[in-house]
Amino acid sequence: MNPVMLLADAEPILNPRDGYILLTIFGVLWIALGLWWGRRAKTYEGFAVAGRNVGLALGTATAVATWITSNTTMLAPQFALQLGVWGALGYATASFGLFAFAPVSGRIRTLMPHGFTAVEFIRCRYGIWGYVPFLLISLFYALTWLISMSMAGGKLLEVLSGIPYPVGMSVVLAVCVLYTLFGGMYAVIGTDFIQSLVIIVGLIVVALAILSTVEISDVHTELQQRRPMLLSVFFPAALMSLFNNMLFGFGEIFHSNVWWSRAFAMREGVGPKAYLLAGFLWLPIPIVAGFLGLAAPALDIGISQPDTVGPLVAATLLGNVGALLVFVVVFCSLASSIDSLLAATADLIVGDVWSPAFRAVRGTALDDAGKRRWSTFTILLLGAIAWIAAFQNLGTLATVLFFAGPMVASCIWPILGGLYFRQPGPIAAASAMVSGTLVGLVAYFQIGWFVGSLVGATVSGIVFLAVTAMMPKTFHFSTMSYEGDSA
Amino acid sequence: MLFRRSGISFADWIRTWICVIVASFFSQASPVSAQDPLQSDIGSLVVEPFGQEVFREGYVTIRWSGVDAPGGYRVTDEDGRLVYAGRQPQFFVSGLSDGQHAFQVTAVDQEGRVVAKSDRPVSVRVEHWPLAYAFWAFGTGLTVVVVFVAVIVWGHRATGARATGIRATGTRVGGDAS
Repeated sequence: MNPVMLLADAEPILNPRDGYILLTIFGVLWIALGLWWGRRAKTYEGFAVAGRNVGLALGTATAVATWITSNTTMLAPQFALQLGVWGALGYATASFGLFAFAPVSGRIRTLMPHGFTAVEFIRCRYGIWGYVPFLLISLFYALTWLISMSMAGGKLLEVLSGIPYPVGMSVVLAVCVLYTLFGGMYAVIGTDFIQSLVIIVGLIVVALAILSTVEISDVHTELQQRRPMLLSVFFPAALMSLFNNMLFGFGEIFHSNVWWSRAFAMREGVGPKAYLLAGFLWLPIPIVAGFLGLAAPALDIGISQPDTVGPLVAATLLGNVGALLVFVVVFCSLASSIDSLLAATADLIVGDVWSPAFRAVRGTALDDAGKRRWSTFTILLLGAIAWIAAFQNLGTLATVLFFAGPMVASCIWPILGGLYFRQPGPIAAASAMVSGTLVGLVAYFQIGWFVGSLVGATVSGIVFLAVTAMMPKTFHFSTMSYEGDSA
Repeated sequence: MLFRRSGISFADWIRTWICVIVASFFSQASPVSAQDPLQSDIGSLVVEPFGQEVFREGYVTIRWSGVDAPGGYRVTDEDGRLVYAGRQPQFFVSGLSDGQHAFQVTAVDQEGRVVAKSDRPVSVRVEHWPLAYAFWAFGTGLTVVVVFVAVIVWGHRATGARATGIRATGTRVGGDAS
């Protein structure tokens, strides 16, 4: 290999004019699709859970598209660049969350055939003690994810086409807010299907093009000589992060209403198959993306920000066509995640904050039209909060997202135990979530982002088991099934 | 008298000495440099990280400030190898093994001439986490994940068997694992 220093960050690969044209085309197309699919959302159930009738193909596609976020295409290469081969493999273990959720999604559908949200389950299962910490964690994580996606959109457009960060970030967020507003879950799942096809085809093309340009053996030789730790089996930080990433993935999927809302939207019996299939389809993607991160130092591509290494390497090696492909793939992955977050978080807030508040104040439940109005307001509010926070452009994608790691990882035991066992009570759930979050955050700041989720999940599990053993309850699952509005 | 015999008036003499004194004053105020005149135009970049910070993961972001560079910035490693060339005033490096690693930063103009550089190479000290810590974290994580998966498998089988039994008797589905 002839080591030539490629001028990173000197000039954007795509012409800014081309970037604006692409952005406009995709923006208009996605909003039009949102309007078209939105015609089917005649009721709140249609808007929130697509009529609970999504089949296997759309169900699998939406799971894959939602889990292929900009984090997959930008964070997986960053992991590989920072933590080497273990980093890329560690990121791929997030697919285990989909495998684990497959049987659980069936259980959720069985217990709550008319349910809408994860918070609803926790409220029914554990009462106010479980509801408060879980709601706070859910909202915090949803906002963190939303902000990191918005940041990723801005960074990507700036790196690839020179579109200023504030402009790119604002346009991506605005487009997603608009088509989610018009189409609800129908638009989210429909666009996810298209996006998943685009993403998978695009990544295959990028991977084949990179492999035809770069020899893996050359990359290996260069890394061995100049960055040996990236190939080391005994890279300490990488070993410490491996199960941290996996548990973060479990926590993300198990607690997030993005996944619960899909479980409720899918037809009876479809959920387990869809999540299993989605896990297998998703698994190789971060490994392919991670290779881009490893290729950068081997190919003398200087990097200034680690979270831009993936798009930068692809675009630098493949020129305009590569930059175009990367642009399209990452735009689709961003949109597929931002719309899911907006829709699912709005459902959560409408069902578990506004509705109970409305009932407490007015004495009656929110009707369908009322829920639609509050959904609209909530989606706009979430978009505004994400925009204000993302505008600051603080931190890398990894540090922003993994800050929420201890919180989400601390939720997995209360959810799992609550779905399958009668004995765990409200105090066990609340203490597990609080202790896991606090101790996990201490580990996050004292040691690093790569152990926060591991410590959070471990402490949460120990506390949950101990308190359940000391204070066992007897919960009747038959109380969870009900008709109509959230109880 | 002395001045008149030499043809220089006292006023001229005083003026001459005043000029000499003023000239020497200004020459003292401006640092005298024995360097090449082009070298004296090279600015200084302030580079961080400073001090004795230890990096435990083998990666670090080196940042600098002080001078705008129309041609971009260059970073070379201790072997003189160019590891970064770009317009951003920062460089990310990873995969470093234990020990000291030095990097030199220069700013160049559009013709590639150096317009500023770091006073001395920035030194980065890497000391990876002890392997014992890594094995503990790995082992703990493996245990937690195995227990997690076991609970799902056991819960799924138990609730599935109970639900089948309930369906057979005609009552409501949705039992519990224990």
